[in-house]
Amino acid sequence: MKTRIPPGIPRPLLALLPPLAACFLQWQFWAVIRPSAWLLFYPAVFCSSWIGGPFAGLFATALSTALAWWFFIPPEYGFLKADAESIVSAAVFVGMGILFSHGHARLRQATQQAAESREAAHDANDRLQVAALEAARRALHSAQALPLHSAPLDLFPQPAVATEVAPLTLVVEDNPDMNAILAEALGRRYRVATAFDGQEGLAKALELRPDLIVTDLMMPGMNGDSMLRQLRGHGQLRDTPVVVLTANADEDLRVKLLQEGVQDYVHKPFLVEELLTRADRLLSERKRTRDRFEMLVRSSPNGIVLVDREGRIVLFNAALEKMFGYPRAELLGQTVELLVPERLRERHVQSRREFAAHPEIRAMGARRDLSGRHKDGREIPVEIGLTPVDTEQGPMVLTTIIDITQRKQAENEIRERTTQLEAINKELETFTYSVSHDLKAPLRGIDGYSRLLLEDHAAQLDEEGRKFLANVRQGAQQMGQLIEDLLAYSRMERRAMQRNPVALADLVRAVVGEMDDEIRSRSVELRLEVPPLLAHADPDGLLCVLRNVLGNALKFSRDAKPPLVEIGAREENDTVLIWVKDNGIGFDVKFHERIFEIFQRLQRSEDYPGTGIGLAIVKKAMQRMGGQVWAESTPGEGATFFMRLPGATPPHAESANTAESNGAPP
Amino acid sequence: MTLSTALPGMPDATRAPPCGAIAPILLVEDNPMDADLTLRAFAKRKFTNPVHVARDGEEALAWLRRWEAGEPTPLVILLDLKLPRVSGLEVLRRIKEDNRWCNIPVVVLTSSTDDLDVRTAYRLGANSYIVKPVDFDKFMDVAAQIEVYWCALNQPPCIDRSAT
Repeated sequence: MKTRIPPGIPRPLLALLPPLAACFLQWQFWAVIRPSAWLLFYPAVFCSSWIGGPFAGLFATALSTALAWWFFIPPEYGFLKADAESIVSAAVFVGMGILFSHGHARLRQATQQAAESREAAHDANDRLQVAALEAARRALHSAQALPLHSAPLDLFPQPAVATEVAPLTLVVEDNPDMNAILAEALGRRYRVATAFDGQEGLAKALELRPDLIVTDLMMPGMNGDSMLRQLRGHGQLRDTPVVVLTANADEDLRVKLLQEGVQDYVHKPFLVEELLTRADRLLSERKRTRDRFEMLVRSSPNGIVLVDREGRIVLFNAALEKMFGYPRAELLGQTVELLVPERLRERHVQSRREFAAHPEIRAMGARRDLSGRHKDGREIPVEIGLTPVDTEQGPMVLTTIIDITQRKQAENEIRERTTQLEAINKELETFTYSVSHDLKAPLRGIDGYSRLLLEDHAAQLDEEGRKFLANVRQGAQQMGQLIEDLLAYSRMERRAMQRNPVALADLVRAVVGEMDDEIRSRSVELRLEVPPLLAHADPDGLLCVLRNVLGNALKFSRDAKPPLVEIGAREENDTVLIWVKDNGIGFDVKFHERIFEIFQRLQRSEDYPGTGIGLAIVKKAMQRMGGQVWAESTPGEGATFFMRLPGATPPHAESANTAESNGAPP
Repeated sequence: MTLSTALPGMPDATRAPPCGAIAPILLVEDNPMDADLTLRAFAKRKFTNPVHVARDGEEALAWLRRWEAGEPTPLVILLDLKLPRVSGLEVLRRIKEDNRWCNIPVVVLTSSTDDLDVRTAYRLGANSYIVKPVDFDKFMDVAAQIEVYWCALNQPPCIDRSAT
């Protein structure tokens, strides 16, 4: 029961009010209440004594009695001539009034005593704790004679390579003795910083970034839990483990703090060993995580370096040492520009600043060639990846460096080899050219002189002689054709293929026109069913293909009566299918692969002349144009050669599209 | 039917140039058999203009000096490309770059079908590019056509020896 008096209102007044109020109310409702004269005065006195205390209660009793006697006890408005009943009821009332007052007085006393006791208990607790710690300490000292850890030294953490430096703990405790003892206990194993209230604790935590915080909750000024709440708001301190010293009574607070990420509780009074154990556990967990991270960094085959805002090297791994040839000691604390070639150092500092302003994960200089500088001065081609990280010591950049010397070497080798291959290809071209020229010349001679012999010296030759010469000529001609075909094949292999939209119908008509004489002389029935389709092809290549395929169709249907050749085309999805069908001698499909090979012939050359290269040229050409060729046939019933090419959209449709997208009317 | 008289209204093959002397043909050909066959082909067609033969690029260029000295320039130069010492393309270039001789028609007569050769020849100013067939009959046809076209039909250019 809180006896809170609104400020500024004196007690006597309060004592007055309830009785007067009761009197007034009773007067108003006397008709209903009569004859209970004391009815409302009882609660009035109760209130007065409750609010105002015992004396107010007594005064109110007196006042109420007077008021009641005057106003409500018959005869009304007089003090004398009351009957026995009235006097008894008055006496009862006064008695009750006194009882209320007394009762409240005692209640008040009791509450006050309780509060005092609690405070005293708290105080006693603390003192007990101090005593216990002190005792433990003395016991330990006498047992082990450990040197005392002196005041915390250089608290700004050195750049760590491995955590050989002891973790830093922060003790926030307002009781100076307790604070000292905690500091001392923790100081045996760790570095310690101290603070004596929440505000100081917060400031020191932000400045020093401790590995562990041990804090009391009840402190003057800013208490423990608001300090923690504020701490957690800062990114780097979000994960700092916290041990809270709490008294038993703070149950609700404990639950709340658990939710806020307090790692552990130590109840007061506690054993120093308990605190140390918990601190150890938290710190070792933290160390384990850090160790894991360091192990990852250490074992990485790529160089890893952690660089702070000023460009100083904070952390690195063995791979980095090896890559750049610096022993560990020479890298610590150096700026990262040590690893950058001199000519690039200035720009690197600039880039670093720019990156710090807009940090993001990225590969550095994606299209540039990056170099690092080895200790011995030579430059190493590298690839660098940057990741900004938030650490306890502030924002830093985690940099991964990969030595790409080998990759560069491989690239160079490839480039060299490509150049070599290109040179060889050029040589081959020159060779082919020379071959064609040099082979054809003697052939001309052979053919020419044989002919001249036949013409000018026919008289000196007999039948047989003339026949021999005819054979010589034929041989020369065949060889000439062979050379031509070989050259054509080699050209098909080597030359650059264009990829244009080609009007099929036009090409077919052109080829048919070339062979017009032959078609007419053999009375070939030619059927053309070529719709106006477009295909992506090299025009000369496709001409060559059609020439060869149509030539074959005509050749092998020579003996049919009548020879029938059909050329057609149709669109299939995104491709164009062309076919040339004849009713000639056909071939057995088991030779399907062979007929497309070079020099493979299925017929005797005297029956069907040819060099055996035509279809090889066709296949090579189709391949290089991104198409396919195949054939279907039944011996004696002709053959159909199919060619598939990628389709093309008509150019006017394309330009219409672009015109539309450019906003111009189509 | 001899081709040289096949065209009506044409004088016979021995055409006198405006300057008066009988105009020759210059054949630049290193292969002796090819040269011989060409000459015989011309002979078979009853071609009577003299045919001078240069056996390599240097001999061909020597002719340039002879024209300077006053000898009659040819009606047409038949030029093979694959020549020892100075190449056919080089000869072509020298002729076409010289303002005095650039108007003389040059017919490249070679066995090469190489695209690059064709392009370069035309770029350097060749008037025509003909591939020598292996077949002798065809070869004779080609020779005849060349002769008819360039020696009978074509109006030869006027040569200005003082041009620079």
